[in-house]
Amino acid sequence: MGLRILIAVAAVPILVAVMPSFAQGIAFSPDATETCLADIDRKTDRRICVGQSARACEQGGDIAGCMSAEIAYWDARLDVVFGLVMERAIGKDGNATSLNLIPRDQAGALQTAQDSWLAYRADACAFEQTFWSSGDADSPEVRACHLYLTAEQVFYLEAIALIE
Amino acid sequence: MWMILAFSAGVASSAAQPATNDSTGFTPKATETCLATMAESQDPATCIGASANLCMETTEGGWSTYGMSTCLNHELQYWDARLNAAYKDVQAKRKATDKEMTELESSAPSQSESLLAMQRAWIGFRDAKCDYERSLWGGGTGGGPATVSCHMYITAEQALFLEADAMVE
Repeated sequence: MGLRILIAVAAVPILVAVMPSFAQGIAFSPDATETCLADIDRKTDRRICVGQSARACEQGGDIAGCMSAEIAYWDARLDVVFGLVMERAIGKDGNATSLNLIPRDQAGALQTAQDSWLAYRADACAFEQTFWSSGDADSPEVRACHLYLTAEQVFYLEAIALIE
Repeated sequence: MWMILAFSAGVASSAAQPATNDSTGFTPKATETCLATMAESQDPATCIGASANLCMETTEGGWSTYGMSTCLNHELQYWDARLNAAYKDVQAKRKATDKEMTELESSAPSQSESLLAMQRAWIGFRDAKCDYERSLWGGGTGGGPATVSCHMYITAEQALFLEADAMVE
């Protein structure tokens, strides 16, 4: 059963909702990233596909807008997969209760892990911000930090979603 | 911070030893060879665990729950030592920059303080992520090695991340 299909279907309405705010004058499409991910083998670093859509879009000139659009794409994909994995965790916790098994709180553990990841991403990208000379929260380095860390968390949760 | 890192990692100092005192004969060579010979676009994560796997294959009882945990823990300690070394390196460079900035009477935020904040947040993330992974195993015995494996992977990834930052003056 294709998780990819499920994600694609679920992600589309969110992306459509997110896009207009960035779409003024830019032509962003996640195709380059998705084609890249579909074509690589297991050993290849998936991070080489991250940012490809932003780079394709940049030919129109709005580098910051294109980067924001790809960040929004990964954020939406993260929301979808997190929701899916959370829903299953809640279901399993509920089954344990109704079957009188040892009580479990996988949903709580997942939420704590996600919250601590968000805190880590914020602090890691704040470090990048001081690390590079501009010190600007909107600098390309800080945006790239958000982009890559978010994509990696998406890869992680999508892999969990495939196992379960 | 140094204490926090060392404490969190358990026996970090023993990781610098090339060979082990137990019967596994663990060495990090397979991981290092993999990293040194990988293709440019290869995911470094594909090399993480190579030495632990070899240890499981070549040790009698290596695939038992105990054997797996022991081998994985050896590679965890190896990466933890690399992480600590990289952290120390980045910290020294960032402190040097902070000092220069102070001398220039710059109001730039402290790089070494934000590095510390990042690393503390990473420790919280690591522990929460690995607690969650353990929960995927329910109460099963696989949860033991799985948790050590989780710590090994995330520590290795953070070590590689900081080693890249350590290359910037």
